[in-house]
Amino acid sequence: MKVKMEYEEVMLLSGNEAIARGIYEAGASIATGYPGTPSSEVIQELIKLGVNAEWSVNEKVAFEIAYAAALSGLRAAAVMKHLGTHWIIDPLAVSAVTGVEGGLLVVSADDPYPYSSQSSTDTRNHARTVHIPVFEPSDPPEAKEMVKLAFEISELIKLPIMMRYTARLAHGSAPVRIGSREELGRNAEFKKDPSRLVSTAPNARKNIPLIFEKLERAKKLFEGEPWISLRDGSGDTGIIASGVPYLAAMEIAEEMDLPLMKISVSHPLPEGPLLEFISGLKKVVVLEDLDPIIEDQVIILAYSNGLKLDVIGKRSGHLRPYGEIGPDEIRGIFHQREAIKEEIPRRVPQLCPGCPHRGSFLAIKRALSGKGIVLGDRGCYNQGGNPPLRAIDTAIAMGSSIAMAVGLSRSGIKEPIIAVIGDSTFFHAGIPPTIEAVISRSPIVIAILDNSWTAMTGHQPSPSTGLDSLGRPRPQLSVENLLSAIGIYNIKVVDPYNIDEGENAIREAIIKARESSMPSAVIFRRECALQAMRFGRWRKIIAKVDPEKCSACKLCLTTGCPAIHISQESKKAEIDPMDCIGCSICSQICPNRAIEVI
Amino acid sequence: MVNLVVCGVGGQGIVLISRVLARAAIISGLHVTVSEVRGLAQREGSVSSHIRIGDRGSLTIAEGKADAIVSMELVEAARNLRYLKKEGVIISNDYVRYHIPHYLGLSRFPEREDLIKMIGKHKAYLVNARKIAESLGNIRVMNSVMLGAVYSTGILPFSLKEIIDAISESVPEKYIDINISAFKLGMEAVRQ
Repeated sequence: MKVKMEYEEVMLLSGNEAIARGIYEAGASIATGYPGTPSSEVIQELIKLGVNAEWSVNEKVAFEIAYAAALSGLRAAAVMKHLGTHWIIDPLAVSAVTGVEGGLLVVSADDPYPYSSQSSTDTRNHARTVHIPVFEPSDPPEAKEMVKLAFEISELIKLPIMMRYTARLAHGSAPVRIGSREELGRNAEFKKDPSRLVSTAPNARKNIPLIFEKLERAKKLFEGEPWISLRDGSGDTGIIASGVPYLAAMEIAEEMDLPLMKISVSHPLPEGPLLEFISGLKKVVVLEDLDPIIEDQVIILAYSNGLKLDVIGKRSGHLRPYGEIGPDEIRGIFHQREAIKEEIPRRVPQLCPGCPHRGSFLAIKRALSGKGIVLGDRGCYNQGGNPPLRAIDTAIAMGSSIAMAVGLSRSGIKEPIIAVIGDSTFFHAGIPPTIEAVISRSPIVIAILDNSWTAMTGHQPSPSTGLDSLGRPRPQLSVENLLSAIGIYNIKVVDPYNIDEGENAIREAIIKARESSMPSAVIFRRECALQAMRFGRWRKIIAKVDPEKCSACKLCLTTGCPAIHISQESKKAEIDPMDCIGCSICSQICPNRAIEVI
Repeated sequence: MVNLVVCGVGGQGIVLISRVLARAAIISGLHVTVSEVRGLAQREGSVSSHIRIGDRGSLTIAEGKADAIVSMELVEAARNLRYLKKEGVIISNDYVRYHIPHYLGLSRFPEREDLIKMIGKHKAYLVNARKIAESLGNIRVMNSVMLGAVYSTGILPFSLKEIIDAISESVPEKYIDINISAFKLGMEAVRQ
């Protein structure tokens, strides 16, 4: 199994980079997406490779742009994390009904553990729901090749293809052999075909059966390499595996000399070879990340063919129906596994030193003084929900803060209700609920933390940045203009580095919302500190603690700034000059005026 | 197959250490995989990389199978102990990074002495990478100090030239010399 590689032609690529490379080599013309860990690096890499790739305002828009390109005969890819894939089901289902001309690939990154998601879902289910094939690569080299095949098969059967991969593969690197770009020389041409593309119910009724004919054709294509591959072994226990768990299964199959079948497409499942594989076995272990999709199909296949087969997996209770399937989980099926107790507490992430959100949260907390409900949204500011800041009461889905604020208000909650949302999230999903807040006359406060970037996922441009991904100027959207166009009249823009100013603005906004029975808004505007430093728009200065004045009250630590530590000797606060950028938030909090910014 | 867990706290340059090791593997013609856990790297979270040199296989290292833990920080070294073989080696920076809930008594980490006891059950090397990097006038070369320390334990399947070439290819040109000096001082630190 030793793999000897020629140094010149291989590059160490992560799953994300390999997928990008595959999209590039396949000659795709358009790539779209919305940033989301673990998928963000795909579009970033495509931008570097010079493909016509750019971030969209949200995933649904991203998918529809790619879909239109594919209808025009080009190859196109839409890339997103699983939570974004939930957003595209409606047009994705119709794209299966209408079919496509050029290859259309949806890249969907699941997060089984989850490392960086508020829920963990198996988006292979979506592919099954809308009846399109779903591919599952195991490692970066396979991911690259599978992307290229996906475009070919999509064009052959005229259906979009989903590629489902997981966080582990997204951020797992391996040597990948680099190829050149296929120059397709295609020009976009939109052919009118109303009986297909005007998908009214009568037209849909006519076109839906075609999906199943296409899937039958696809199924035959998937009955050989590379969609399935086999390892011979001895005995009557075998393993069926897909995706990342396959790699660990491969090691165990070698160790124990077990027959192993790799499946790279779980819908439509290549049933012929699968039936042949399980026919010779008494027991089969099925390994796949998240839902038991292949496992259930194996159970059905065995049952409907009258096989007496013991299927070991999630249904049998040998594996948890959630979380990642790693080497330890697989070994646990075959061997007794020692229970490991975590002795060391989890490291609690914080907002970065100098993060403007810290000032915004402290202003909100002060204005509320323990009363009120703060509905958070999705972004960096989630770290503000961690101790010690604990400044938000919810963090649900993109745009949920504002809609749930309306919900609490309609439910009769009388306390002040504040929805906190970042600029990129506001553009993504905050505008419809803001309209709802106005037309329902909800007396809520919408606090927009405008740091002008999609910061959490690695500083992609937001519509408020005014620049595209290559740094070229483009229209810069104004949050306040949008809010006032929607019908919010009480809008105040403040600097989050000034806690008093923010606190007064929130107080006033609560009163005005109540008096006018209408939502009011406060915009906390300051560029993400990391970006401001990077582009020289903030010059690093440093805050210093005067040990004479410090009373060791630890109040400065409650800001959750990672630059502040407690001295082992004096037990007083000290600030690490490496980390501090001089935002002055701690000095505004200190009751003894012991912190000075110099 | 050589299995390494590289760990630390976001911002400590774990990615660079992984990149150099993977580069060295590619230069020496060995298969390599790197599996990173990140997402909150800039925000004080735990970060770790599983590096496997030699064969194709699982992206992650099974518990009790790592040949070495290379850590930029003692709490993270202790956190990853479950991956280490009985006869495995720990090479850790002698530095504890507490998180704020520790200082406020909300969620306490073990103290330095206890951490050293925990990792001391295995063969362990402590390196004062910060002090060594400071002696060279650039604290950012701590990673290369650690790489030198790891190299001198003899667990890496690379020649000295291969790993030095990997460092040269992984850092900006004007920092190559200082990183190689840091690497050599790291080697010395373990030999002593």
